[in-house]
Amino acid sequence: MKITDILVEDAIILDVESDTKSGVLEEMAAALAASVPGLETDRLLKVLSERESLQSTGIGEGVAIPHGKMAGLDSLVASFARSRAGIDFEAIDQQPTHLFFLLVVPEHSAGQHLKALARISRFLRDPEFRGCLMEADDLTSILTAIQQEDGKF
Amino acid sequence: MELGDILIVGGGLVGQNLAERLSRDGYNVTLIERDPDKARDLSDTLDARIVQGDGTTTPVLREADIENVGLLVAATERDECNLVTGFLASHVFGTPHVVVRVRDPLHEDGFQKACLDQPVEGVCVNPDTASVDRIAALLEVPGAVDVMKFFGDGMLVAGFRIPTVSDFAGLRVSDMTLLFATTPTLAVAIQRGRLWIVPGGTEVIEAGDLVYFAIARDELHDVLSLVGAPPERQGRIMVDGASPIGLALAKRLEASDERVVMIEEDSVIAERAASELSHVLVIRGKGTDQALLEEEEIDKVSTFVALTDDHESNLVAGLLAKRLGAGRSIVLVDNPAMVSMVGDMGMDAIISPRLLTIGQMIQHIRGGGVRSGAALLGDKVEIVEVEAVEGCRLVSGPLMEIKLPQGVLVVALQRGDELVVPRGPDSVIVGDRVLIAVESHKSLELEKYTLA
Repeated sequence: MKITDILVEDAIILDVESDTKSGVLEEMAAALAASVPGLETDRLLKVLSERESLQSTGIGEGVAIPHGKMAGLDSLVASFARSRAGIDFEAIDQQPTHLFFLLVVPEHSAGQHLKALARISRFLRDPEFRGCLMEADDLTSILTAIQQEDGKF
Repeated sequence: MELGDILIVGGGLVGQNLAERLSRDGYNVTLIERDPDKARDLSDTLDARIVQGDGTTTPVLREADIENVGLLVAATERDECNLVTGFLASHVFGTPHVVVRVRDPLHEDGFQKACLDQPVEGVCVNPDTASVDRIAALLEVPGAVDVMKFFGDGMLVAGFRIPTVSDFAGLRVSDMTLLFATTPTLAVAIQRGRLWIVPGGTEVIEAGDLVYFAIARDELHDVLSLVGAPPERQGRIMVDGASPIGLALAKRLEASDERVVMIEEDSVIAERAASELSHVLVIRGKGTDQALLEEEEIDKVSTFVALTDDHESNLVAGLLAKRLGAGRSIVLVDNPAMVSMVGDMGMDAIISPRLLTIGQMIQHIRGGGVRSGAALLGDKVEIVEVEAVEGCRLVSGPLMEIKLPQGVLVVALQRGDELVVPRGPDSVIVGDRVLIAVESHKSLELEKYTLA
């Protein structure tokens, strides 16, 4: 599974406006819901918050991968957002979070969501890839970086 | 309770290996061996006090200072000798912990019952039962090289060789908590070349690693899919050898409706096996006979299990079965040199009754009164289940504050029927069952946390 295939380009946020965890989740949920039919911001937010309350999806090194399962969704969707200033996302290394990958999967995704999660987290462990995402000036550079990473595996 | 000094009776492979491990851990170990030549050899090679004599007699036991040991392990080859020693320890000398190796299940029952009304703890360790349990667990988990069960049946620890295509290849260990947020499913030990580690969160899993995962039952399917192991082949299971282990395995498989075919060379033993089994076809022959394997459609067999008393033949039969197309080969070998070699020979899994026996004894030493045997991974890492007892350091505060040494990982808790993911702010409470991964050289240090 390629990340490029599930990434919703219209939902990508180059620079988030918010400076709080809940604010970023709201922005990302709203942007994704606006581009994916059948997805509602409020319901999505509720699912994401529930997952965060279990344990933050801030996996350290400036990366968070909020995710959740939604009934009524046909296929996996993902979006990306960035905060150059960094946000307190309660990450496991207690450092500010800059890069956000949001992953939303159908309720019965039969393990596909784990494969997608594993793939995204492996990508983001590559410092070069993180650097590309941080420095990208526009949407095209971000998409190119992700495509390149997708090609490696 | 401090365990104190340890007395082992019987200097065979089990006693010797156990003495080696325990003295390396820092225990004071005394070993009784009847054979004078062997006793002399042992005193040259082992870092333990060796007493030459008959361990079923009180003078010899006294000479070995039985009155001052915390634990006695009776580990000779003979049930009867071990039982006599065990009875003397538990009923005459009042040794607090007594572990007896027996192969006949009827002997087990008697000893355990006899200890019930004594102020001591007496347990039996049965190599055959342990072997059958381990094979049955392996059959449940396709692709695994090793499988252990803990918390009754609630948690599995299974080792997999990570293929290049696996979703785990390149994954950081701490990211498994992202994937499995609600269950204690995680990597607990990694073997990379000659190196064994209990990984910290920042460790990255690499293709080619042998990784042991703790897996909550419900997550097994997902973990298998992430490992990328080839799907399980449907088909008959072929058991080579109607040895006590082979027969017990066939009976158990038959009871769970598996299709089983058994090979046995000896006609008398084959006939007896056939009479004890109702749905298993018993064929006279050898597992090393290529024509026979082909005739029995070995290429359609899901798993070939070689369990004869001739371990070298088991190895040959296992390799042959694999080459002729069996889905998976599990072989019984016990010789330490062979055990360490077999993994490199393309065998899927090995069963070593000796190591399983030692694992159960070690579990008893670490945890006391716990049902499952400790998993010993390549001599370097132990997975043990302990019960959190009143007054032990493990229950003295949140996990992040009790500062467990590096190389010790609290993997999972079982509280009543509930499986708990132990996170930093959580505390272990009295009565919890605790699954712990520990690098062997830290195990004595671990004892400071688990004993009151």
